[in-house]
Amino acid sequence: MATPSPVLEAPPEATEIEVSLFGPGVGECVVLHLGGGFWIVVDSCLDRTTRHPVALEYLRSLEVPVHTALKRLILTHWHDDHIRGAAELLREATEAQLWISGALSSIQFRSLVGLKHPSGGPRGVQEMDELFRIMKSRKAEGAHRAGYNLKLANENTPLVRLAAPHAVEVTSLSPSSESTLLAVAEFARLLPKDAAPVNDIRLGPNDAAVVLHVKVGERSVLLGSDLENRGDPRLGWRAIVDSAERPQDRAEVFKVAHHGSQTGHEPNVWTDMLVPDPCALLTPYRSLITPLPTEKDISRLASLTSKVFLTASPRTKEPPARSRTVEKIVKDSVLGRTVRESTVGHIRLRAPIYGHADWRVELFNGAYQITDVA
Amino acid sequence: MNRHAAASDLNARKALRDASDAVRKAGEGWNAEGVVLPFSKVSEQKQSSMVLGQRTTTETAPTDIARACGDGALQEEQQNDTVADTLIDAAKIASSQRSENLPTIRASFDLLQQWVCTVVSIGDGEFVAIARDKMNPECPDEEVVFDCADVNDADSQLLEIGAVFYWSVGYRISEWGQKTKGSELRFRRLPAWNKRELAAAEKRAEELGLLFVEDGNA
Repeated sequence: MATPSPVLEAPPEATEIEVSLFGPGVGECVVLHLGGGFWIVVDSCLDRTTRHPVALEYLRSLEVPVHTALKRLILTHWHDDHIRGAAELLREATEAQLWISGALSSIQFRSLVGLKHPSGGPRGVQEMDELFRIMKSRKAEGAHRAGYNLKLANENTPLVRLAAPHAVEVTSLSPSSESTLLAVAEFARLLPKDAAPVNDIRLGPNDAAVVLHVKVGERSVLLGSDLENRGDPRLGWRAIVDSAERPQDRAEVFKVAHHGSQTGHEPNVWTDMLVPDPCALLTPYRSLITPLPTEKDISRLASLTSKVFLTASPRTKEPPARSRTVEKIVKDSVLGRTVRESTVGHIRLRAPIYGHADWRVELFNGAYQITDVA
Repeated sequence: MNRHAAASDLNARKALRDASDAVRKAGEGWNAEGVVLPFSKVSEQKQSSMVLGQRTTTETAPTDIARACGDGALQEEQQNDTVADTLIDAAKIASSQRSENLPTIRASFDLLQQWVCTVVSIGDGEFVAIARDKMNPECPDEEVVFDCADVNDADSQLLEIGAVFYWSVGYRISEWGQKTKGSELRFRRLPAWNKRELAAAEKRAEELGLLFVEDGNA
């Protein structure tokens, strides 16, 4: 199914939909072409080497005029691995609307961003701070400016509605109202109290992550972000599956939620929201303690579809070697050590907007298809 | 002993206690980067900066002990505190005599590598931190698992999720020149959040709220 020797710099046809998944780099990112030169980016990650947003570098390599062609920057949540480089991207994408999870409009989250952390604070918060500054300056320029308003994504919110040149609908399926309340309570808990020690913020569960349904012509794509299941019908994936208002088109492509983890898995998504044997794309989360996907996760995914693609191996990687002395001391001093980042793998899927031709899958920089699962 | 003499005696004892504390603190001193600088002067530690990759040496002649004693006592006591003055003078004289005969005490730490780490999880006698290379910022962040037992007693109460610490690797060089490979974890101590900072964050949060108003007039 994968195309041999793909050309990375070849842009899609105007009548083609493209789904590009990048990761892990410093996080993950999805770039979508919705036909007719209309691009959107979902989440942002950095290239480990250049330290620039992967999406920006990719779009430039395709010679896409980012300032006019990138119409939406959608941040599904504020965790470091989904938001790095978003401010740099937004600065370039001068006409793009910025969409964030509705939960992030709460005063509790804004107070987290408003804290003057002596060391700058967690990178996810720093990035949000910078994004808010950009939006504030755009707002000051007034209503004549495109993309000056910050937009909030909640359950069943239309983010894009186009009739021409192709029918396009991008809809956020989450967070549900209850998920938002839960996330706001978590933000309140994270807010330091008077006389509390100055520590970094602990990242909580992804209750308020934005899941997206993308429909272009006859093609549908489901982007699962990092949404997890809570075993409560009002929260997480259960709230989405049970919703009568969500788009009912079954997706052919699924960006698997939360790096394929068991907590991100909802069986009814596969039976109710996806076509049989869909393309399942995911990025790994490299960690010594909680690596994702696990062998068990991969087996589960492989039992659900024959088309599972990973941007990179979930195996952890050795840190760059320092001097022999340093390495020896470190080896004697720690119980384990790894790096999470790697060369950014890239899975690219393209298909005609109309018709039922197979998706063309192209794999770059170490991305691969799961073929043999014991 | 009359009242004045008793007060002076108390002052003298306090001066000695302060001197002792100052010496102890000097022995446990830390610079701004969280790197141990044993035997250094407390007042100078606060201003010192570690030169990465180079040997940092601090010297303390015994006269510094008297100075440390003076820092702790004389600021608080009055000039008529004759007993304390006498003791300090005696210490100065003794130390100057000794310093002529003894080599200067030296101790140093050859810093080879340092990371700034944030604790992300704790459990089963170990904790995990994300380590950012302070000397080579282009290096990727690492996930490192440490043994909780490696956190010194003074810092153990600071070990919690979100806590920031400095992980330094290098050679400890004793005052006798003995080199030993060493890895040090030192937890950051910052002034706690205060009401003014929290109120400022809330004010900024109110301002940011305007971003979510559709046309700015609503």
